[in-house]
This record gives sequence, C-alpha cells and structure tokens, in this order.
Amino acid sequence: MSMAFNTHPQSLYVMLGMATRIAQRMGLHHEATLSKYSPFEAEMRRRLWWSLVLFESRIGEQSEKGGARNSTLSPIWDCKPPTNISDSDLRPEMKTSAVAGSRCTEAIFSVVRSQLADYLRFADFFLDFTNPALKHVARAAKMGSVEDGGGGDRISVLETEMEDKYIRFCDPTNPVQLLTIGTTRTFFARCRLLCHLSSHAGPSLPHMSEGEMDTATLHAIRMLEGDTMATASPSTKRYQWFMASYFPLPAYLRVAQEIRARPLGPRVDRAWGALTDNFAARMVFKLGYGAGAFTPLNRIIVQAWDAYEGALVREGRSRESIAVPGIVGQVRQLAAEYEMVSTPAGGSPGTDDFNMGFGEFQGTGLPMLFGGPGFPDTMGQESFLAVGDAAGLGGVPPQQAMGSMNLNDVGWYYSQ
Amino acid sequence: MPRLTLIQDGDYESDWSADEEPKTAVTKMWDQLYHHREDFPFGTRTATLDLPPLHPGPADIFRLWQIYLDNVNPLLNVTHSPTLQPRLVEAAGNPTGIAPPLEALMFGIYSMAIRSLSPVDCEAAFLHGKDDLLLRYQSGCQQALMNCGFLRTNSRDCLTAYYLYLVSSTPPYYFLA
Repeated sequence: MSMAFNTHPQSLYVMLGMATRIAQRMGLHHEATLSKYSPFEAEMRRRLWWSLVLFESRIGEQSEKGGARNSTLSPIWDCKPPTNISDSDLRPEMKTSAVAGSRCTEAIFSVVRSQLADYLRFADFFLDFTNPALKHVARAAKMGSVEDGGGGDRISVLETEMEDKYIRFCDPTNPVQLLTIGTTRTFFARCRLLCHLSSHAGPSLPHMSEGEMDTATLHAIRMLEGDTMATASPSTKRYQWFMASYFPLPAYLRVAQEIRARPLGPRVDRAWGALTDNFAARMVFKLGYGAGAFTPLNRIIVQAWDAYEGALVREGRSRESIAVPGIVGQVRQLAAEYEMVSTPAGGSPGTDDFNMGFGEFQGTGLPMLFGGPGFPDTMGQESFLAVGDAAGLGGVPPQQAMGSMNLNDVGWYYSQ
Repeated sequence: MPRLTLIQDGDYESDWSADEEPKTAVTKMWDQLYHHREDFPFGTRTATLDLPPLHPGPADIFRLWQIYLDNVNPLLNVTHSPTLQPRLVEAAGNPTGIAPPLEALMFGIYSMAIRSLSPVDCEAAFLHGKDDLLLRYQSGCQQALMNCGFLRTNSRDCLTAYYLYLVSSTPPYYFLA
C-alpha cells in the first residue's frame, strides 16, 4: 500500500497549531467575542472550536512529551461546549440562543465528548501533567464548585451526571449513540485508572498493594470492555477512521502486566477475554496496515502468554491441556504473516522486551505526572519497568516490581 | 540540553543532531512510514492548480456528501447540513464560479469522505484507489485554501476547510498511545 498522503504526526501537530491560532485570532475560544455574532453563527463557532481542540489534543499526545504538555485544552479560555441540538433545530435566523434538546440529538457524540473534555481541562490530575501552573487558574474559574482533590469522587459525580443527562437515553441500535455509550465508558475507566496510578505508583510513592494492583487491572479491563462495545458492532465500522486514533494501548499494557505478574490470579480469565474481544473488534491488522505498529503489541501478548503458560505448567498442567486464548492465536497468525520472530520472555533488563517495550513507548502517551512531583524527567528508568518475575528484571525484588508501572505508557486521551 | 560530542582531531563529521532529544522508537517508526509534506503551507509548488477539473462530477459530489454525512459529520459536527446542502447543489452545477471558502470546504468534505472509506470500499464506489483520490482532493483543498488566503482568513468556512484537510491527513495507523 502506498502512503501518498499521510502526514507525519509531528508535522500534523504543528499545522494544527496554525489552525488553533487562526481560531483564536477569530475569537472562537472567547464567549465575549462569540456573543457579537448571531446565535446561529456563535453556535457553529463553538462546534468548530471544540472539535478542533479535541483533535489537536489527541494529536499532541502522539507527538511526544512536549506536544502533550502544550495542549490547547486548558482552563484559560471560556468557550462553552456545543449545545445538544440537531441541525434541523439550529436556524440562521434564530434570534435567541439555541436551547439544548433533551435526550439524544444528532450532535450527541460531540456534545458528550466536549463536556467530558470540559471537565478534564479543569481537573487537577490532568493539569498535573499538562501544565501544573494552571491549576490556580482552574480553581479560580471553578470557584464555589466541588474541589477536585483526589479526583475519585468528582469522577463518579460526573459519570452519574452524564448517565442521567445522556447515556441512559442512548439507543445501542443507533450507531452514533452506541459509539457514545462505549467511548464514554472507556473514558471513565481511563480516568479512574490514571487517578489510581497517579496516587499509588511511582518510585517515590508507596508501592501498590495487591488490592490496589487489582483495582488498576479492573479499570483497565473496563477500558477494554467499553472500547469493545464501541468498536465491535458492524454498525460502527463506518467510524473506524476515527476510532483508529484511539487504540486503547494503555489498557492492553496494564492487563498484560497483570497476566504476567499474577498468571494464576483471579482476574486472569476475564483479562484474556477482554483482550481477545477487543483485539477482534479492533480488527486492526486485518486492514493490512503492516507490521510496524503491530510489533510492540506482539511482544506484550507473547510475553504475557509465556508467563501464563509457564505458571500453569509449573502447577502441573500439561501444555496441551491449556486453552490458548483467542488473542494469542490471532497474534501468532499475524506474526507469521508478517514473518516476525517472537521474542522470548525473560532475560536481562536490556533484552527483556517488556522492559524495552515501555522505554519505546516513552512519549507516545500523555504520561500522567511525568515530570511532576517525585518523577524524574528521564527516559525509561529501570525502576519504572513493568511487573515481571525477578528473572525478567534482573534481580529486582518481585515485591518492588509489582508496585511500579511505567506511567509513560498510560496514554492520556480523554476524548472517547 | 545539547550533548557535547567529543570531536577527535581531524574529525569533521560530528553529529550535530546530538543537540536533539533522542528519538523514541515510535517516532523512528513514523519517520519510516510517513512522508513529510513540508511544502504546504509554504506553497513551493510552482504551478497553481486549476480547480474546476479537480472537482468530481455532480453525481459523485452528492455521493461524497452522503458519505460525509454518514461517516464523518456525526463525529466532527462542524458543518450545518440544511444550509450547506443547497450551496453544494448550486456549486455542483457551476464548478467554475465557486467562492474560494466554499470551494475549500467542498474539497475538505471530499477529502474527509474518501478518508473515511476503506481502500476496498473506495475502489468499489469510485473506481479509483483511495490514495489517489485522497491526494487529488487534498491537493485541491490546499490550492483552494491558498486562494482564500487562509492564514489571514476570518471565514468560518475557510477555517473549517483547513480543519477537515488536517483531519483527513491523520495517519491511518492505530497509533499506539
């Protein structure tokens, strides 16, 4: 397949900056400027601003640390999210502002997404990464409302609010509404995962207990399940071009880590199931996009499988009796098609692909708290490396290994 | 922070990229996969593209519009269908007289519609390869944007067109992040 016209993400990010600058010059981000236009024109401008900001944020996350940190999604502007209104109810000649419709309109997906992002741009745990200095601005803007604090309670409040206003009215037989339900579920699972990791993981913070690891895994599994809901149905295949930019890799990493660390643990079956279902739904590589993007995923799955199979064999099971999870079969098949050599698990930290895998993912996500308090701003420290057995980490005690997770991999993309 | 490279006597091939952050493996992968289209927006192309022949025929314009309404509009939500459709009808009937912002928007819509199709579906619907059509319509969009003077624009249509152009340029791979 030729790649005639696909822009390098870093170039795209810079060009998007031009679009954002044009928008700001036109005052699209500024309610006071918008109020000078007709209600119709103001609403159209809000839609464009929010769509642009959401897209720019996502591409920024894929453009290494600087891009993620420089997001336009910040508390310093006041453009309101788009109104929940179908095009038929939005008319150029209207004299008064659009009134939000109840339930699901044609705009539901962008409305929900924008409102979730509108929460995020004021949230402490998001600003801790992008621009901690803006937390003061965020708090001043939200004077009187519930302080974000640890984030957990506020997430539940928001989730309930979105459920009441929109999600419970969404009809899964309607493709856009199905996409909205699934991506919203993924969003909240991801928020919880990142909040949880930000308060529990890292070299200068207490290591996670088994219970806390379990919670993190549960959030990651729910991320996968939400994403599968959004992408498995044939009716949402038409949105694949969009969903392609939101592959839930952090969830794959976390779940595979769980399998590798606790192959006989209570979550393992659900973990394999969630991985298999999502991989099948995503059908990524059946689209023939090539081996490049597949390589890291291949390593993660193979190593999780090796740890799992190895543990069962040590328990006395014969290899033949162990059911091979769907995703392992699919990954092997793809690897054979791409003529890739599966890398063995274990070995020294320098060659252990789980560890190398994390270093390689540096900068691909929006590392939570990377560079924030207690986190040295260097690349791929060994101490951040994934859970694994002592052999794989070259002597790091399992207890310590269990408690850490490379937050660089937990890509932060909110807008699903 | 630049790293100092020890330069031996007579060694004039010091690596000046040493002052850049080392690239991540993912960025290196991107570098191999994607072309760098640095000419736009500087417009180094010597000939100005003539736009009317680049538009699809009226029947295809409406098919592309419908694909855009099905696959793209519900997610991006940046155009207003009841007011835009009549303008498209009129423009489709007269491709030589289209105002630049609308023309840019049309090419943006064509680009997004093609972008949203799988290569197989595109070939089936339009009898041309997806990459070929995407290149054609994105080139038309670039030219139309330059005709608008898009960097100086105050037109929402023009900015919307630039936005659609950029979204249509998104790499198709699942970017693992």
